[in-house]
Amino acid sequence: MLFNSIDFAIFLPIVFILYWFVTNKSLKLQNALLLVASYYFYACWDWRFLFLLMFSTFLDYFTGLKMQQAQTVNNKKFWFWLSIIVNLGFLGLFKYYNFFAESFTEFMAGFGFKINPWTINVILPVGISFYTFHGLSYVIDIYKNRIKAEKDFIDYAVFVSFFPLLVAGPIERATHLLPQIKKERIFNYAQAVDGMRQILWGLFKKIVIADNCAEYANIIFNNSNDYSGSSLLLGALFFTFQIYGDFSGYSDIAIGTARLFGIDLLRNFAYPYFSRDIAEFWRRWHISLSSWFRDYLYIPLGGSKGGTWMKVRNTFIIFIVSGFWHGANWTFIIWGALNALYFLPLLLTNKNRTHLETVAQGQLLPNFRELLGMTVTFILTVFAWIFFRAIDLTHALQFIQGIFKANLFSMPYVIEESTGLPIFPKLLLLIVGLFMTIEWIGREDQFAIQKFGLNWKRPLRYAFYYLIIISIFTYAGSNQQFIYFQF
Amino acid sequence: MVFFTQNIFLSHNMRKYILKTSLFISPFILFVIIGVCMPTTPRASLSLLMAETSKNTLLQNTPLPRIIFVGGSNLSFGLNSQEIKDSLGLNPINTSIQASIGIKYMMDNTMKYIRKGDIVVLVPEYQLYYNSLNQGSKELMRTVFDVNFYNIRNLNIIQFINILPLLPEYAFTKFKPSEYHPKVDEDDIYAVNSFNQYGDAFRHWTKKDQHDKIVPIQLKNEFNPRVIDYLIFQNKKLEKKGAVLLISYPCFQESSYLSSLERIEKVEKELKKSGLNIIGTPERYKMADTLMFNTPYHTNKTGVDRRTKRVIEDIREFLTSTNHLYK
Repeated sequence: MLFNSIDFAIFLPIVFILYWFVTNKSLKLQNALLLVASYYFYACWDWRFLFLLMFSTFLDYFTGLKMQQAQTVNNKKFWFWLSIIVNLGFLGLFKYYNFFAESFTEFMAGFGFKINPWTINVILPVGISFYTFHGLSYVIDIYKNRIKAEKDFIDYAVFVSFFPLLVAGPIERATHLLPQIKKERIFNYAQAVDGMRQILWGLFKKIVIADNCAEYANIIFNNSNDYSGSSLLLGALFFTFQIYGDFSGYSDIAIGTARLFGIDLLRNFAYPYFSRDIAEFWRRWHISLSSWFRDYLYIPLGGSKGGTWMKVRNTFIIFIVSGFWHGANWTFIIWGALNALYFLPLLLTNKNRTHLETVAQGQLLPNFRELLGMTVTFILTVFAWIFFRAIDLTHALQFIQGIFKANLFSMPYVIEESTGLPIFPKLLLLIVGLFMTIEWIGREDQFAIQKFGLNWKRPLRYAFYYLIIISIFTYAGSNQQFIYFQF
Repeated sequence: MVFFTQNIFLSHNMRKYILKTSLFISPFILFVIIGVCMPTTPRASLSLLMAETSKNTLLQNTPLPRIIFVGGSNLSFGLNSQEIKDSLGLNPINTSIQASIGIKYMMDNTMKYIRKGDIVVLVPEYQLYYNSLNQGSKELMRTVFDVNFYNIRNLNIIQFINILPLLPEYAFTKFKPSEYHPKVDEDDIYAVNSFNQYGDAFRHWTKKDQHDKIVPIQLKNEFNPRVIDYLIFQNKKLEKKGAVLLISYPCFQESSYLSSLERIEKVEKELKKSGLNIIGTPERYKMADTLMFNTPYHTNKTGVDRRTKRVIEDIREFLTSTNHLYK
């Protein structure tokens, strides 16, 4: 069930009404409803994997309790490692097994050995990377005595499976979400209206920006040999906006939806394309994943407390693992490594925490230095996205080679599939330009239109919202799956 | 007491929320309703979808013995019915317009005009075996709201729900000035007047093809077994009416065919298993890339002739082998 589907448009009001009008007298009932709704939501993707989700939930719930009850350290360790191994085992089996098997075959073939490994032909359970990470954070936090194990299974299951975040995050922490699930919730008008605004902006990002950019990005990436350098660059730019619109749009819809139920989820994006360096970019892009890796991988590895060698090693580990988290493909690993390379100079010169505030705070425009920083960071990001989007490494390298052809400075074009004619997509570029302008204006808020126009007169403000709705219906790109569902 | 106070607070806030949300949404809904209810725009009146009316008239008025072709644009752009008439001595009716209308709508619309003795040749595009039977599409929606509102009777509730999200965009088109001043191109291959007296799209026959610009497609999704169940059900209905259902394969660009071979073979296997009357094989209707016009399903004139010849051979073989009345 996609957020941008009629199914969800029916599902959401039904759950909302049942939640606030039927089960509102009991927190237990409300949570039970959320769990049933979440399982139904998940079953709409593929009901068979619902059992995997239930098993994973039960495993972490059970091992969490066992860890808390453990009398000895060894006993506690046993339950901890059982949970970690089973969780990562499932993730590895479904997501990475074939990658390792095939890579091993290719490696052995390089030495003249021909082997036929056993590969599994299964589809990836949607959201497995997200709910596995939910469970892992919970188990690690109990092991480290940061939290106590949750005794109520339904409350715990809602924490793992709450439908807005189930399939593509934000990756929540037990310390943040569980207390909200356990607390009685009162309908808050301002929170709900804010949530609606965030859903609207998320839909705009997904349907108008991401889906339209996806059409052209797909055409150019799928036929990269036929395009000029400038057109390939345009394709990379379209993908840059596609992935931002797609994933941050999803996150906005998820966070907005959760707010309708009185629950605040972690922020996932904070205007990453306005970052002045890569370190700032990574504090603003997929925040819930970056902070997860920081807290559960980077810091346990020693973080940046050790010597230079340890800093370099840990940086590469965290970025490569982050790349690998996205999928079993060398392109993601190179994407991660490339970002580590971008990041290292800042880390080694202790400049990785220079830009902690929003760019040009309280100003209309950035100064020259900020503009330069943003431009360089954006170019580096676009370059890295080429690896992320390419089918394989050869494709990525050919694509990059193609950009630097003599015709890099020619007029870019896209061949429309319906007519076979080359066009310059100026309308879409104009819409993307307007979109980024609104994002710039709202960059100090949680999402761009949170306060945009709030001091306008109501008819004007409503006209602005209607304009967004009209553009969603009139400039809707062809329906594309959310990119992060595949992770 | 605390609980009671909370509930009062909730109901006040909730009332405000519901009221304001309704107030916000209602002008939008009103706008959509007005747009949907406005008459078909001059531009939409020129669309090839409007040919459905004349094709229904053909179904109503063409005398027996009849052969009725049902399918998507692989048929409308890929058949020369005059050849069929001359070779088989049957009165052809090509009802096909667009694949995205869906098998269900195509068959349900045709069914009411079927007479005893009719031969119905259904040629669905391959992707229709991989889609939901109830899929909603812009074309299906326009077939109802532009062509004839009574077509809504051919839709089930799920199809209707599936076309609902398309209505706002459709409503907005009614307010676009360009919809009321369409550029009329007498030579347009996708217009209401691009069909001949049998229902074949023929304007592209004399135009230069763009086969070198066609991007091959690859079939996706999981095979939908409900399509076969539906065809079996339709076959029974036709048998009751004293008509015959034949199912064949669409002409398909060779490059697309090769990249979708596994899925095409799956269609062939499932159809063979179904016990339905199947004529031809997918291989016979695989067309060299140079025989295509502008999409992997649309043939140029040479392709049309080759395809028609094979259709005639396959129908003749069926009629001969089954001792059919019109042999």
